[in-house]
Amino acid sequence: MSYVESAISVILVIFGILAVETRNLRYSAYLLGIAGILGAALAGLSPHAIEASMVLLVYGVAVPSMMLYVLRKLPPVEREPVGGGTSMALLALIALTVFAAGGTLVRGLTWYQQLAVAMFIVGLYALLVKGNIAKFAVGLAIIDEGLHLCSVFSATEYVGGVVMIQSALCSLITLTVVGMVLYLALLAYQKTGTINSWSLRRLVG
Amino acid sequence: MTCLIAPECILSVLLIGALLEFVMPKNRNGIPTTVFSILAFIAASYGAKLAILDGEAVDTLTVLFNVEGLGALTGWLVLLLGALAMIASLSYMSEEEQSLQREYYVFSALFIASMYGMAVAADLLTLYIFLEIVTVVSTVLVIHDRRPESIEAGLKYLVLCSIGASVLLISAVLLLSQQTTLRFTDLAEFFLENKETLDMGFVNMCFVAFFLGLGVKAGIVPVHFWLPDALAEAPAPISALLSGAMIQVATCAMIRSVLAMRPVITAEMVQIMIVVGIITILLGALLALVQTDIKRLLAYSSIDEIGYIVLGLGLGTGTTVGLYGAVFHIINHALVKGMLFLISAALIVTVHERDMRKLGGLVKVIPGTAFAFMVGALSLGGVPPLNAFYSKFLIYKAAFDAGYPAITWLAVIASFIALGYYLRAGHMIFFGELKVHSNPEVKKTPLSIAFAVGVLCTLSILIGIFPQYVLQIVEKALGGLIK
Repeated sequence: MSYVESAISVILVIFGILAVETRNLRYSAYLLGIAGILGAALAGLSPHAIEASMVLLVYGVAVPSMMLYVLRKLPPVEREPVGGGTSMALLALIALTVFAAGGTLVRGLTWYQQLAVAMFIVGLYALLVKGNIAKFAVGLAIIDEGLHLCSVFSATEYVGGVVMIQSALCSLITLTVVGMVLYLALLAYQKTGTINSWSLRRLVG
Repeated sequence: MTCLIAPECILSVLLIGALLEFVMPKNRNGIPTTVFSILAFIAASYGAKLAILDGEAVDTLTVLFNVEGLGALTGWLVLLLGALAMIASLSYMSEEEQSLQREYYVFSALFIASMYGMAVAADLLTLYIFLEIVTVVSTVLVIHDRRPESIEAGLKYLVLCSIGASVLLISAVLLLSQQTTLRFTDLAEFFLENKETLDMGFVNMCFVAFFLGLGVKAGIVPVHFWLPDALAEAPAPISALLSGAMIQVATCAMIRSVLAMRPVITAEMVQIMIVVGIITILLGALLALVQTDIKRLLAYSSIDEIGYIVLGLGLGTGTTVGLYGAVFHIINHALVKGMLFLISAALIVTVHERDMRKLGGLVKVIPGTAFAFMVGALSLGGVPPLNAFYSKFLIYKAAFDAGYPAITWLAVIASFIALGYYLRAGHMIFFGELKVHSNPEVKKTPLSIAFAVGVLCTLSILIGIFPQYVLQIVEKALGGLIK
């Protein structure tokens, strides 16, 4: 693991955390875009450098643009922010420690697998703790970006061809899922006047 | 001829059906999707016969698909239920707005196609891609009427299933790092050849990714939250597909993945599957017991039945009886639960009511539907000689033989609980005083729904009378995987 990959990975995770924690959803989209550009830079260093364009297109451009488009019709700031900054700071510290140790802390995991794990945790945090439907889209995009980058570095020449095409398809699928979540956010706002998922709880039992 | 039964052709037929919806006159919505679903079912039936009964390879046009025993069987089930659900939809959707009808049929065709793609996927990434397509497409169907409740159900379903799919993707990424291809056939060889050298951490993570990733879609406890809401809020024919086809396809994918790992499966993993299976059975049965909405009752009952399949899978890693029981129960549950959800569609069309407390005495108005309901109720209640009795019995036997008498008794008790809540539901809906007597809108079950229910009811009774033939099919379908 070179210093360049290490540095980009750490910055990528930090931008992921910032995208999840930022209260203003518009800034959240910008930060997600920067994370996408960083992911593309990282993918450019992989054996399948051509994947960088797909990462850039999906996570750097399409997902943030879609978010910004939908946010024109949604409240720009989370109304009822859920606390979690402290836990996120702790999480970030753990992630940084893992990266700084050069992959020796988690036995058997390579640096790109650790990157995927860190981004999975950050995304899962957004999905489970943040009660905002737009943040669900951010969380899902972060999880999938981590896994996509991991698959780009994992795939060898032996399994390259078909896997890379499928990997590109996976990115498009991510785009569809994120789009669907944003559409649901829009629908929820039109029907109930809020995108806070905690206040949408009507089905019980 | 063989080209016509290739999975790619079957998918194309369904997509053509969806596209034709856009050019049909307004009062002819649903006809292309229904006709092309039936054509796809006929083609898949021939393919399944070749793959399972004749043991021949079915040609595919790409490397993405592989029509082998279990995949061919579940694919056939998906298209059977898909065709019947579309036939039933012709009556169920007839009073909807034209634009909503078109949306419904287009996405239904895509839903059936993507489930079929999942069933015959040759490798993990193709499975993941179709899993996500199924999630997105069926979310549109769950939120069909755009009420806040259905939006909540759709959101829960979309987010949970997307997390599940991402967990499944972890297994693909992990396996890629081991320089293996992701085809199910190669995975079995990979685990067999490297069982001595593989790191246990890697094996454990692969197992968790397969079991949890596909378990979310299958609705196992504790990741079942989406299931009752989505099944209750979706239009009833779609609930029949979600419960009868989608969760069965996910469970079959779980069986294929876990069986590929068979050489490295540890006793702890088997125990995890058995414990999750029995908790899923008990929780599903107990929660179904307190429901008053017929669709929520059927949804919790689906969780209950999926528990039996997971229990059979857990036991099936050591003994083939459990595995046969699990796959046999997949067939039985698909047919019976599909039928019961279509009966709920009939209730919604005839009396516009889902709350069982407000229903009663309908046997006088819709006796055929009442008969079919009782067949389904007794079958899933584990009463002989109906079809689900045999599959449940195989699972009990596997549990008892494997040295789990307590688990066996708990599963038997849960089956009695199921019989109890189904008989209670049957009594509330069909017997006693006719509560909707004064309602002038009460009408007979529409012909298309009656036909779909009739086909599924006949199949359930026939399997109950001749279970040995279906068991032979199950044995042949599992032949390659067990080897």
